[in-house]
Order: sequence, then structure tokens, then C-alpha cells
Amino acid sequence: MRRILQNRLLTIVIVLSLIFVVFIGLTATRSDRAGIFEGVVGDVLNPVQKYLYMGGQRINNFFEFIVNISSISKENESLKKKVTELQNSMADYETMKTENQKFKDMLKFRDENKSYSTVAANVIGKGSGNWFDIIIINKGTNQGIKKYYPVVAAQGLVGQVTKTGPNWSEVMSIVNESSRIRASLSRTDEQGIIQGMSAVNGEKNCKIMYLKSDSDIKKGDSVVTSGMSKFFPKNIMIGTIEDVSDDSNEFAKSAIIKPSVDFTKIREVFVVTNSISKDDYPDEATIK
Amino acid sequence: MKRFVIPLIILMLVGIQNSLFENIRILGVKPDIALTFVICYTFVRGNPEGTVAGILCGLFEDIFFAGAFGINSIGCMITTYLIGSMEGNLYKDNIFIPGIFTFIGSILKECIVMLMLYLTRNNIVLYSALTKIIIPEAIYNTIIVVLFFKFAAKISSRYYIMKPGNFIS
Repeated sequence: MRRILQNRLLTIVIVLSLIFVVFIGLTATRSDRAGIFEGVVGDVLNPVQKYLYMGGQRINNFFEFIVNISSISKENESLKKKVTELQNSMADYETMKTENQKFKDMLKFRDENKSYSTVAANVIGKGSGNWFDIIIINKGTNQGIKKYYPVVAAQGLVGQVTKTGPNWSEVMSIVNESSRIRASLSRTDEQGIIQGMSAVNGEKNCKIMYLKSDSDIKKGDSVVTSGMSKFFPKNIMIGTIEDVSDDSNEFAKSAIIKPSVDFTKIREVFVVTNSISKDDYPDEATIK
Repeated sequence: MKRFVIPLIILMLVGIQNSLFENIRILGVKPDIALTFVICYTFVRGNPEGTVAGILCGLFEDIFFAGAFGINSIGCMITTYLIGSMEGNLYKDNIFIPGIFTFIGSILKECIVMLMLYLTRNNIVLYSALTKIIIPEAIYNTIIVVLFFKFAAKISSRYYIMKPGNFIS
């Protein structure tokens, strides 16, 4: 009897495997609206997740503090030295500050003129598993959020909405390996494509690719969205160049970007709701 | 009512794993605590209940997964089925046996996930995925099981998803 039971289970497992494989095949190219099942479960789970996520961040901060205690005394020594150095550079700073303020005002002016309307949302979790960088936020179709809408934070670009439920959405962040975004260097206006990548130590970064091989890209250059794509508004900060690869075999230059948004500490984001015009909004049938 | 306890626990664990453990990453990975619980459950109750729990765990995980729907389901199902079918022959008193099974089970599940992701044309480097994600995660899972197996086993032996012997269809 037990043997038959086992075999029957085996048959069911094989049949279900086939069903799942078919399902995977069918859903591999989607990631738009969540199904009813996903929507309901997400609605139930997300309020709980929100508090757990906040609690987890406190624990994280606490451990960071403990780990750092040993290095604090060493740091103190070097900091004292730094103070004298810094006092010298203070004078330079004052002049820089006034200049900076001027630029900032200009930036603000430009940003205000854009008149993009946004929906503020809280981050309530990250996607399951260690494979993708998905951020779950607490606003969804009920608040007017749709797939493809760009998501920004105060520091810069976060990513793009990839799935929406009634009161929650999934955002694919720019450090996700399957994310591709058109970008340009703000200093030279060169165009490139940004892709997420994971560094050796598990830290997540982006990479800018397809720059011209004679590009004079430098460390510290800032990277912004180019505005060539119809999904992202122009001139949103993405990050700064951290390392330029000097591989002469490659026909195009690439560089590593440190995103200006700290994805480990992200808590509040804004979804831009009117940057994609109605004509540009992709037809679901044509998008694969 | 009693039979909803295990599914609810699995659902809560998926939630905790997405939120709380997101901030307690070690070596850049978070553990799959829902999977570890399901493996403990399978270890105590065997098949078919283990497989059912595995399928539930996979479905819940798939909701918050960026890839295609069903990838975690198939991984969890096959893993729990294999562990469950060995259940009768295992020596359960040593705490390290479930640890070893969790280690192998986690690697198996994530390898299935990796394979499925690879087949659905995701940009994955197999070798670095193995060393950076799968093995650290399996070690993390194993430590959690060694610490909490007694507790999970207690819950597992008290609640059931389906009555034993009810599986005739």
C-alpha cells in the first residue's frame, strides 16, 4: 500500500513539474499585473512586512555599531590629524559653498519646471530569494501606479515598476542584473547603457556600457538618465563613476558606477506618474 | 482549522524572510527560512505531506519573485519530494542529519532555480552564482536548521496539513 502511495505521489510530482514548466514558459516574459492569488496574498502580507522591515533595519544599525567599536579608537587618532588638514581646506570650502549653492538653485529651478507629478511610497520589503533586486512598495493600482512607471528617491533614480497589485507594486532596481537604462554622462553628454551588476563582495553596483572607445570618461563623473528612452524623464541622477575599465581589446569602454541611492538603506521612494505620455505607453499586446 | 497552521507559518516565514532578513544579510545573502522549515517538516512527517508543504512554500515564494511564476515551486517541490521519500530510512535523533539534508536540499533547490532562470534567458553566470549565492545561502540555512530544528520538529509533529492516510485520490 505504501509503495503505491509513494508511486502515486511520484506521478503527481511529475505531472505538477510539467505544469510548472509550462507555467514558467508562459510567464517568463510577463511581469505586469499580479494575478488574483498574488494580489490577495500580497495585500495580507505587506502590512506585516512593513513593520518587520523597519525592525530589521534597526537590528542592522545596532550590529553595525557593535562591529565598528573596535576600529573607533584607531579612527579617533586619524581623525585628529584630519581635523588640522580640514581646517586648512575650510577656507576653500567657503568659496566652493557659495558656488555650489548657486548651482543647486539652478538645478532646483530646472526640476521645478519639469512638473512631474509623483506618488510617495514606502519600501516594505525586498523580493524573495537572492537572485534579483526587487523592491516592494506599498502603493499599487489603487493609487494610480502602472507598470513601467519610473521610481525615484531623493538621491536619484531607483528603478522601474515591473508588477502591480491593488495596494503594492514591485520595482526593479537599477542594480538588478536584468535592468537596462539609457544614460548619459552629465559632463560630456556621451550616451551609454546602464546595467546592474553584483561586485565580488556581494555589493551591488551598476555598469555603464557601450561608451565610445576614445571617451574621456573619468572617475567621479556623474551619470544621469539620458531622456532618449520614453520611460524615464531626462536628467535624473543615477550615480558617479567609480572605476573605468581600460581593456584595450574591447571596442567600447565601460565603467563601474556607484549608485547615488543607497539600496540597503532605502525607505521612501517616489513613483513618477505622468512622465510616460499616453501615446508612448506600450501596448500590452505588442510588448513581449 | 488545525490544517491551516502550517500553511500560515510558511506564509509568515516568507514574509519575515523578505523583510526582516533583508536587513540581516550575511556575506550578501539572506537565508531561505521558509525552505528550512519545510525541510524540517518533511523530515518529521515524510511524504506526501512534505511535498504538499514544499509546493505551498514554493508558491508563496514565487509571489515576490522577479522571474517567471513557478520557478521556486518546482524547486521546492522536487527537493521536499526527494527528502520525504527518504524519510522512512533516516536516523532522526542526531541534530546534524537534518543539517546535512538542509545543506544538500538548499543547494538542490537553488540549482533548480538557477537552471530555470538560465533556461528562461536570464543573465546569470553559473559559476559565480554557485559560489556567491547558492553555497553561502546553503550554509546559512544549515546553521538555522541546526539551531532551530528541535523547535520546528515540535510544531511539525503537532500540526498536519492533511490527515495521514487521507491521500487516496
